[in-house]
Amino acid sequence: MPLARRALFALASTLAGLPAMAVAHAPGGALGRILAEGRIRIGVVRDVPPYGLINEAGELTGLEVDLARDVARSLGVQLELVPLPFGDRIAAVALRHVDMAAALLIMSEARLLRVAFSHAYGQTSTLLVTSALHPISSAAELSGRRVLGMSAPLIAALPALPPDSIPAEEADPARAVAALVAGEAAALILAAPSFRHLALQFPEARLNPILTLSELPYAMAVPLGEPDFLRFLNTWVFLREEDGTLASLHEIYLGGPAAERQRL
Amino acid sequence: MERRQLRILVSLGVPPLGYRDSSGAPNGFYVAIGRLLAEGLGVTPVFQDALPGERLARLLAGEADVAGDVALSTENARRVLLTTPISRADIVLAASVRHMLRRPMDLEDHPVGMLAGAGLEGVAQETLPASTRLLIYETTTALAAAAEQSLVHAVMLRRPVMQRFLLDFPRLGLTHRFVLTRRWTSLGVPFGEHDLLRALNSMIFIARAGGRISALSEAILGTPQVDLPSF
Repeated sequence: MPLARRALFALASTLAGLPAMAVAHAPGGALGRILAEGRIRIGVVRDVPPYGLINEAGELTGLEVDLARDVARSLGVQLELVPLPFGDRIAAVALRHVDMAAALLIMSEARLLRVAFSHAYGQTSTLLVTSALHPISSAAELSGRRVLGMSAPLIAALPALPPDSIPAEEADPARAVAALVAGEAAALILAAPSFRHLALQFPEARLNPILTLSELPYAMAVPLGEPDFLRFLNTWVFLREEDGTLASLHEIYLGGPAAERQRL
Repeated sequence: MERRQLRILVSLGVPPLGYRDSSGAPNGFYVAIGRLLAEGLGVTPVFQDALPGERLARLLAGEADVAGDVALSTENARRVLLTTPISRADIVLAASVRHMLRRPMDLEDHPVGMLAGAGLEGVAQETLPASTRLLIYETTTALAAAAEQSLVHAVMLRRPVMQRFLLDFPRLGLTHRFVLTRRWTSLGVPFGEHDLLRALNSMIFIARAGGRISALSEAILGTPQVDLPSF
């Protein structure tokens, strides 16, 4: 008997042994509370254009801010946008300071231990960035040198880097650029939108992308142990993908069609 | 879940999606899907007739384990867990060629017929002009008679139901005009029942990969279900 079928029979046996129950089937956990209170707190970034930024009128806007608004609208609840420091995004979700975050959260194995991810709604290139002030022409030159990124485990998992390069975590983009300029780090690992933003913010650093390392999916993150809420968000991603909303947001904010991505 | 039974809420007044055959037994696409899934789970399906507007409320009241034929929408996702899609069932409109109806706005002041219990009133309100007159009929025969007498100028049905309607009543001379809204249907499962949801999603995946859902759709609805998206 195939494994999948055996597993299903085992499940059926388990279910069959349960007594019939008259159960109230309101959603549990975060989803139940969000619907009961009529309010959701969604963490976003405000300094990573075009995902989250402050516009000239002083308002939060961006791809993921629009996305957060639609999630709240779909839930029929009020939205409280919570700007998160870039380095605190995962902790804010894990510690339940927010109900969820849509904040350029790249899916990684290390992060899966702390939060649960929805299905991906986009993907971004990860770039190896150096400074023209300290020229490097290939990844091989990073042997034995420090490489900074937002997540050390993420850097360590990148196959294009020499195994003896020294990954280090630096959540503050400005500090990462300063370390690169000072020669304290040989390279940065940046998502493409972050690179564009930092290159404009710090022209004197003469940031130079020398290699595309990977295409990584990003998704909404919720605290662990929220299966009802996660299923709602996965349904939302499916519907917005199918009705073209995600493609429209991508077109508006990133200037082109979204790349094909795998579904979980 | 009752012992070795999968209790499934379906509507048995919407052929070919769900109906009672000449012997009074449940039949139709969603009944066949229910049998397929129950077989995979090793339990007996028990079908309970429920109007579309009542299915989720009765599921939440604990009357059944699964609600069949639930539209994938954020509104429904707030009420129950939704499985991956089982079928594509767009809401479509058909009209006689003598009526110049090419888009929803052309339906201003026109009478449009639909079936009772099909649960399409919300779609009509969202997609048709406010001045469109909605007339609801109990049976496809009554709807066809109304179209024949020009009491309605267009009919609005789900695509599989429309296909059957056009085949059953060719004398009306109706033709498909446009899709009012795209729609996928799934099964509804009560919140918290994630083991059952995963089992159903696995069964749907296996049935789709093996071509069984498409074959059932082709045999019962007259159209295969190919390239269904999933999540």
